Amino acid sequence: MKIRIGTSITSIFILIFVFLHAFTVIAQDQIEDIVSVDSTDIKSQMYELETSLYCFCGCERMTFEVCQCGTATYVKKGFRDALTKGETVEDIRAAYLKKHGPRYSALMPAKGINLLAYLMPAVILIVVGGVVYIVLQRFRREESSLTQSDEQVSDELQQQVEAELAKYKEQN
Amino acid sequence: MFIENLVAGIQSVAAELGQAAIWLTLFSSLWAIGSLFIGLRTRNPNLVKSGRNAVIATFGLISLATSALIYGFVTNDFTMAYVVEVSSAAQPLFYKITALWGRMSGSLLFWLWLLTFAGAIVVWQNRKATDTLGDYALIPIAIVQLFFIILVTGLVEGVYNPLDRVPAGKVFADGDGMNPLLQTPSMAIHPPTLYIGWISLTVPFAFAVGALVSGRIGSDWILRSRRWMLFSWIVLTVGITLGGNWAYQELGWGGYWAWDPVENASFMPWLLGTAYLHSVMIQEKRNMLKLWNILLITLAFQFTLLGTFITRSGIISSVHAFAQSDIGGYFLGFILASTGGVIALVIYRWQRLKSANRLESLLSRESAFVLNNWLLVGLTMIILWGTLWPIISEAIQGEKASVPEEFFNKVVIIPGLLLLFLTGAGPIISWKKITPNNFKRMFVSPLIMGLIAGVAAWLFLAYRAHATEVTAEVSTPNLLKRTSEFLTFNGQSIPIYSVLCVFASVFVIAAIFSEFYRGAKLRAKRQEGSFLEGLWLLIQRNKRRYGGYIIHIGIVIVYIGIMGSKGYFLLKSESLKLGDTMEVRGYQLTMANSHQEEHENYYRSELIFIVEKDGRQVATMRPARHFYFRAGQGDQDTIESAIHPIGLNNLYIALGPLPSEIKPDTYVNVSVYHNPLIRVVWLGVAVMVLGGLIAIAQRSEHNTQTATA
Repeated sequence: MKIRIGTSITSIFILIFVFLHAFTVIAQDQIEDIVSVDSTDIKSQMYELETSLYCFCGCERMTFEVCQCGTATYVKKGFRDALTKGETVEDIRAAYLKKHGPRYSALMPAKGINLLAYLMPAVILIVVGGVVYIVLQRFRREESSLTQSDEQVSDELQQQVEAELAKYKEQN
Repeated sequence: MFIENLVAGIQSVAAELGQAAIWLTLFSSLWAIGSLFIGLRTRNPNLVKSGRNAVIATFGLISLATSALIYGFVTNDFTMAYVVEVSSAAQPLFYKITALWGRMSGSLLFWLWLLTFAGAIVVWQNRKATDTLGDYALIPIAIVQLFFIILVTGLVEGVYNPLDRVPAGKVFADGDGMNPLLQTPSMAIHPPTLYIGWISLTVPFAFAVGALVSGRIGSDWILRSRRWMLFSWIVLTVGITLGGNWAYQELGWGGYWAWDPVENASFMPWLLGTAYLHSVMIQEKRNMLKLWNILLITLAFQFTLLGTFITRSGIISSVHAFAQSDIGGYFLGFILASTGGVIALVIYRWQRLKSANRLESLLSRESAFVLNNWLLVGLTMIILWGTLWPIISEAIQGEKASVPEEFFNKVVIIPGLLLLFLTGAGPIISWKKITPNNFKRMFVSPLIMGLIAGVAAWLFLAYRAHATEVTAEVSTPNLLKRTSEFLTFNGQSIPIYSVLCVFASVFVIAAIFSEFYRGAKLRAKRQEGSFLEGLWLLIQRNKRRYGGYIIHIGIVIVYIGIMGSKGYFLLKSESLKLGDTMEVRGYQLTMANSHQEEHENYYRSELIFIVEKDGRQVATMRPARHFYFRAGQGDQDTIESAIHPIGLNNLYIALGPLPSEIKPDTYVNVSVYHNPLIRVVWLGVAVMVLGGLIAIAQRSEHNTQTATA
């Protein structure tokens, strides 16, 4: 009974933890939308572009902010020119992703299909917790079993037998 | 002329001998598997002995083949296809040798050599064993060897034999040279370190399979493979860190970890290995979790192969794209087949895998270990999920997406912090069941200290945020900083994760230090010696336990380093010409001069920065770019960042593209990072390794028994 109460409390704790996890992950994403930079300033707009797009130069998964290759320098100049001409960050981003493919986007907002990516970790924690629980609580011998496992006894016996055999072989 | 002909003759003989050796291993490994299996089943000691000898013969033959290839590198034998692919005459000798693992074929041979070496060590370790467990463990080792031998011989498509000659009629005066990114000291050591870590994980897995086959499912297999597991864990820790250090120095992005698929591939077996190291303690102490431990070690081993699959298949984009080939499918097939084999064995031994004991209380050390396992395995699966998301998203919507660093930071941070807390709670909670007395004695003080530190951190960070606002420094909002400030209180954002990290870190340090203090005091009292003598004796008598605690301290230090370097770094990028100055967090960096010099196989172009603070020169930094003359793969030039330590922090400069000549009016893109507490990360890893070395020094009960016998 003690275990059952304890198990229930632990299960509730784990569920709260998991949902807290899922909630905060998504909440963070919403906050980041709110703290988005001032769109009137070219420098801020450049920052927004540089941090939200990957360079296609071959230095995989490097945003323009950190990529130091010649391609990045060239593309960034193109971004700046486009912004100066009055194009918006969204237009430039869309044009870049259309040309090079969505895998060059460094943004992964918790929306649409990505929501699944963000929610799955919570599900994974529940599933792994369930597996651990089953292995631990369900997968055990009946209460009536011996305190010491049969394997332990059999291991010891087996070792003893093998030692005797080895000794016998040596003697002969 | 005579000498040249002699060298060419030896080269030819060496290559042919090496080639013959590789092919012979096909038979030796098959012989090892067959004779060991039949010998053990029919209890024929001669066949078993023959199987052991075959394992050693495989090691000898692969050693011969590897030596032949190294000889080809050293003597510039450009009749060998692999030497042409990854070496060149001008490549420094050190990098000619490390070219062995510079591309696919050679790295597979090197992997195989390490694996056969491990097999030979297992034979040697079990030479005096009175049971058959070690022999049973040799069978899975030989099977894994056979898989790699098939790849190395080039029998399958997608990979060629590293000792193959260039096609007839083709003559190469020089080779393409190794990827310049790999021609760095840390990259020379990083791959073999990871390989050693991964390969040594094969041995505990083999013992687990051996236990299942032989039916000896007690703790014997765990004791016999304990040192292998710890060794693997230590080496993987070093290998992963070296990889991070390489990325930090060579990729020019100021960071050391970006959740790149290949970084994840090396990290996941480490997480599973860590979980296993904890859960086996429950089996040893309480005779529980037998099935779980077998599943864990199987998963850890499979994840080493999965890592190779991810690295080699090219299914996911990575900075390690240079390692891609078509052999990923074979790895996937082997993973599925070997997992299927283990599942079949588990079903066969189902009844004997059941635990004898159960958890008595959920507030006990066993439970803490179970929670730790839950989080470590959960984190592994979350990271796997994020790593595979590009493929999953492609399957769902037809387009491959990228998963940014930010995603991983968000999803791992909460489990990661809970895990940090458990690092302190686990060692101080009692076995079986916590009592109110145990809680009061062990938990209250560390918790209070943690709370005080957390509040102090909050106040400090709030003050710092305010000060930054006052100086109006243009700062890049860092990923973690942003994610850690999602809570607001009274109009001010709270860096909640940083505060929690400080709270948990201080709690852990206080908890572990109190364990050391209590134990050392008691020992000193018993021995009537000083406290330091008591401390020495304490560690000496139980290296495994206290080595483990030192590892925990190292982990706390790493957490603090990650919090500082990932959460509060500053990046400023500007275009500068000679004489220009930029300012980063109070440091003035002046681009004073430029310098060019020619090396053996590259040309170095560097800029000289004078760094001043408060009008006083504190450093001279020389970021550069190297332009390689012959480099077959990847970019022809590399970024050579300049890193200057300032206390626990780093000032880091990386240069954008450089023109061939730097004139006074030439503008260069300069990125300067201020990375707080980054050196703490390396320090923490060193402490973890130290703890690991102490823990591994303890002989297991099995070893002790063998030694005394």
